[in-house]
Amino acid sequence: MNDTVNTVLQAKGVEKSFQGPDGLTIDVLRSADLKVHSGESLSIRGESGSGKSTFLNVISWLDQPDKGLVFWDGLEVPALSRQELARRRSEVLGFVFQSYYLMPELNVLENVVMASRMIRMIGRAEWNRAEQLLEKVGLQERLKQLPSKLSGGERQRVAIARALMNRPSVILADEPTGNLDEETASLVMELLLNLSRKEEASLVLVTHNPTFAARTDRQVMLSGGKFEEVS
Amino acid sequence: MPWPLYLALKQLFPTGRFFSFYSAISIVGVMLGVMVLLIVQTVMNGFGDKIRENIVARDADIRVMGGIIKRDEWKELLTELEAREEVLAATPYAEGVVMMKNGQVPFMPYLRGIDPEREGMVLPLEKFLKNVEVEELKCTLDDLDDETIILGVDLARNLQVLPGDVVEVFTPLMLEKAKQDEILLPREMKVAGVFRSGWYEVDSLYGVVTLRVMQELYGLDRGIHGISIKLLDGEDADAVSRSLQEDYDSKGLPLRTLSWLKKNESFLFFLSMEKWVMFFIMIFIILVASFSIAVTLSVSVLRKTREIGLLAALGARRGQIAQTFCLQSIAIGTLGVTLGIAGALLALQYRNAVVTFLLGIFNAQDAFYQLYGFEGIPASYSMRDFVLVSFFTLLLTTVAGLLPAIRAARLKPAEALRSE
Ligand SMILES: Nc1ncnc2c1ncn2[C@@H]1O[C@H](COP(=O)(O)OP(=O)(O)OP(=O)(O)O)[C@@H](O)[C@H]1O
Ligand SMILES: [Mg+2]
Repeated sequence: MNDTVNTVLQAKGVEKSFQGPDGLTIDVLRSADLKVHSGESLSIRGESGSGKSTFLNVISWLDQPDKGLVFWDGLEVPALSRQELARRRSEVLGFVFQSYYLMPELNVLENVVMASRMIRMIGRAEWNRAEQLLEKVGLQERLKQLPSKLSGGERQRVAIARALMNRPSVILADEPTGNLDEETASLVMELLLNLSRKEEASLVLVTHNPTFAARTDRQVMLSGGKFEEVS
Repeated sequence: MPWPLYLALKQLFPTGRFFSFYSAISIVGVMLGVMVLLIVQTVMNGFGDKIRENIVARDADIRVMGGIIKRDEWKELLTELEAREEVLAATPYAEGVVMMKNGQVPFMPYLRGIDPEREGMVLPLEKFLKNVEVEELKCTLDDLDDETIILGVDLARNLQVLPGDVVEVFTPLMLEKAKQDEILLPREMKVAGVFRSGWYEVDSLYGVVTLRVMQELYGLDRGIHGISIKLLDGEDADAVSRSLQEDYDSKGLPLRTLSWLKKNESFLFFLSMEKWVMFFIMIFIILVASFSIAVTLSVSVLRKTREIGLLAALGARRGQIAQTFCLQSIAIGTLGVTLGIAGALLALQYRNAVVTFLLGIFNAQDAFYQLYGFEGIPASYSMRDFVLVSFFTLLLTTVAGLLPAIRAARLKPAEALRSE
């Protein structure tokens, strides 16, 4: 199989630095290279402040790197027009954040459908898919509830359903269990790993937890602004 | 539905709740502003119209004047005027100040000599006669002949006369005669009844006699002082007055035309100035309401920073994020205007009940209506005011939304997502 087709996400020589509060530049990413293959799950570990979140922002082009290239499904991202970029982002990437970021004024079902609403006219098919996804994360009874009425674990399950809504190629999950107690965390992690496999989405999982990291197909470590494979 | 509109509406009317508290406050703010502005403008219009009506009632639409117009001349003028298509009716008059006495107290009212057959077509004299409440004081134009006089109701009260009583009338002409040592005999007129225009200045300062009596009192022979003209509805008194004037000038006639608009120009100017000043003062209410929208939305942009980051991650473009907030302020403005118009119409519909109720609380009904002369609160609905108020409000509320919208669009997605 051709290498580019097989790669859903790629970062090539990405560099990113920030201006610190004292005026000094902090080099967070120094020529970071990473390939995510179709269907695989990958965990990224690293010390706090090592640049994991920064890397996810750069690879999803929510933040621009100082240097380096990013490819989505083999497409070079900087070459895309703004409009194309926004559309592709919602088609290729699904996001799960540490704190769930649900829209408080929409109910559970509407929150999940929102992902599709942003790129096309929605119809019966979208509502059905959202309901199915919510069923898969075990929230079929809570469709009409507002996020404020849900527990943290439940909210994160809604966020997972939303991330899968547009059948993305990759799910980017930044410490998705960071705010949850141990028991709920393993339950949510289980869902995330299983569902992304079932929905044929690759998974990029940022986590501090070695047990969770061990459950992914491949593990990398971010340190000194570069990735190292862990075997 | 485009998602920015969907999200804007959802933020105003979240799922499962009727509306959000913050947007309700903003909507009520706009509503109150629009409502007060429209009520004030409509009532001011009503007052303006009432005042104009009263002026017209007293003055006719146009007067043609020219010192003393001799008999042959005015008959011709009258026929000519009545033939014009803008003119509904015309009537000759003679008017001047006289002194009246009943017993010792003298008064100096104006006497107006009229043609009883024609006067009613130009001025609502018959209505004024019917306005009189006390049956014994009433009369009709048929009661007016060369021996009788009709007095304004307040003038009659001041003179302390009732129908059937006699008043003595002295004229400036008699002074001339007195200079030549002639004996000064007043003209005695029997009071036929009274009229009530509802305007104190008219009711306390005017008496009505036949044209012939006035001609005799003023020594006009068969001449008159002028002609009052009533125009067809919708005719522009100023324009007609000007064209008449040009006509007379070109014929070399020493006549002057005066429309009621021209005659009361400064007063009417103040009336309309007052309305505009009120408008500009009141628009500040809406300005304040717009500020509250800007504040509410700015706070909402702050509160929702992370969600704005999320929107970007879900594939939102900057323009669409800006739209989400701008559409909220537009929706608030639209709802506020709609509710404000509805509220204003409702309040105006029941304005008299409201005022009566308020006055009832202070026990001031009678005093109020006496002082102020009109029955009830007038109102005149002007489409232009409604459109103007709606337009300005929508403009201001939209502008109010732009600031937070631009702030939201400027947020960097990555930083928005990091914010706590
Ligand atoms: N917008 C920014 N401005 C300045 N410095 C930044 C900015 N974003 C990130 N940084 C810095 O970059 C470094 C990496 O931050 P990042 O959030 O990527 O770390 P992380 O690996 O995700 O840490 P954690 O595990 O605690 O989430 C930190 O030192 C942080 O202070
Ligand atoms: Mg992080």
